[in-house]
Parts: sequence; structure tokens; C-alpha cells
Amino acid sequence: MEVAEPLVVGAVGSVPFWHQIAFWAAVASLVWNLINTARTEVLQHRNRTTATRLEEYRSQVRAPIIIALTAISDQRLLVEAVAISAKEVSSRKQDLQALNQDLVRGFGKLEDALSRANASRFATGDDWLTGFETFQNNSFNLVDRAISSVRPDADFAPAVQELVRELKGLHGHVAQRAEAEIETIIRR
Amino acid sequence: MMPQIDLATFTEGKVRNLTGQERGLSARASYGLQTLDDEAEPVTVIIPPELDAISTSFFQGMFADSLRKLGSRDRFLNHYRFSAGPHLLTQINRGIEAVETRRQSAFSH
Repeated sequence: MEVAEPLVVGAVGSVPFWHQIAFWAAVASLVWNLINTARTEVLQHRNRTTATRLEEYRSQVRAPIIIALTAISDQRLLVEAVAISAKEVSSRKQDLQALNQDLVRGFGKLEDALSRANASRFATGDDWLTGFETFQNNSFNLVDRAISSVRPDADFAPAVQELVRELKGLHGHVAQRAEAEIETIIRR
Repeated sequence: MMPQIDLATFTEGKVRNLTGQERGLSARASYGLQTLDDEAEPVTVIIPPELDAISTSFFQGMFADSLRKLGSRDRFLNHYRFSAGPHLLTQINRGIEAVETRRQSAFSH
């Protein structure tokens, strides 16, 4: 009975050259595929984690902040309306007093949302309330300054206009922090 | 008679919003809270109805030391009894939480 000669890989002369090339090409292709599969899985896992983080951040952290900011922006539009109103100053002061209550509620909601962001595991950093206090104090003081003003043109109008600027500044400051967080999550 | 603080004497009907830590510290000094913290009787804090806001910073200036001295939120609220509408009590609550959070973060660092 004829016994087959064992195949010795790499033994030049026993296996035709082109067979050796084909064999090593197949091995290289297999290793390449394995590396690619592993890399794809790592990337897919990273993408899934980032997508989950983004989703949780958007729904649990960003959404309450945006809702509170929108409420404050709505109040800002009403304050702007008071600023351009042709009514008597005494009447505009009453309007502003009524708006102040909603403004205070809006600030309260925003403070709560930013405090939750500080404590949330879906947002980085504990700097969410940074700057908030200054905007709040300035805004509340400007309302008081406008309400207690004596001269309509010299005191009331400038205080209300400054209040509008302060509320815009708050919106920009907080919205920027909330948007920057998305970049931070994507780059993690 | 239960000792009491009436914030109307501080606002004099001129402001609707109490803000700022410095202002809170000034109120603390003018009402002698350092002494009232040690009173055996509970202290009533009357908040005038015309007030719309007590900011966290004002609350911290006025009451943070009392809260620390009394040790807990429950003991603080048992000692200082706030007479105000729900809207302002929410703000008082927010102030208490801010003091407690600051204390916790100070311990964690």
C-alpha cells in the first residue's frame, strides 16, 4: 500500500511554491478578517455606549434644562413687551410685578434642572450652576430696581432693558454649556 | 411667647426679591440669628406676602450657619418655622438642599 508523503509546510521543494503562497495568503486574510471583526465590534460597542449616553443625557439632563430655559425666554419676551409698552409707568410696574412671579418660578425650575445635572451620571462635571447665581441675582435686582424706580425714562426703562439683556445672557450661557456637553460625550 | 423674625422689617415693602449672600449675611446679623440658633423655643420666621423670591444665595447667607449648627434639615425646620406660601417654601427647601449639597461636596473633597 502506498503511504502519502506528509505535507511539510514551508519545506521548499515538497509543496509547490504557488500552493505555499496561496496558503499564507489565506492565513493572512483570516488574521486580517479577525482583526477587522474585533475592531468593528469595539467600534460598534463604543458607538452604542455613546448613543445610549447621548440619549440619557438628552432626556434626563438636557430636556429639563431646555424646558426651564424656554419658560424663562417666554417671560423675557413679555418683559420686552413691557419695555416697549406705551402704558403709564405705574401700569407697566404692575405688569412687571405680575411677570416677576413667573420669572421666579422659571429660575427655580432652571436651578433644579442644573442641580440635577451636577448630580447626574449622564452629564460630566459639577459646574452646571456656575454663573447661574449671578444671572439670577442681577435679574431679580433689576426687577426690584424697575419696580421701585421713580423716573420713568431715566430709571424704569433702562432697568427693564438691562433685565432683557441679562435674561438673554443667561439663555446663551446655559444653552452653550448644554450643547458643549454633547461634544464632550461624543469625544469620550 | 415664641420668638419671631419678620422679614417685612428687612424688606420694608420695597423689594419683591431677596437675593445675594452678602444681603443674607446682613439679615442674619440684624436679626441676631447667632443667638436665636441657641434659643430653647422654636423661632417663627414670617415672610411677607409681597415677597416673590428668596434666592438660594440669600438663604445661604442668612441660614447656612444655623443649618450647620443645628446639624440636620429636620432639626433646622423644627427650630425655624417658616410662615409663608407654598411658592416661597419651595425656595426655602431649595436653599436647604443647596447648603446640604455644599456640605456633602466639602466632605467628599
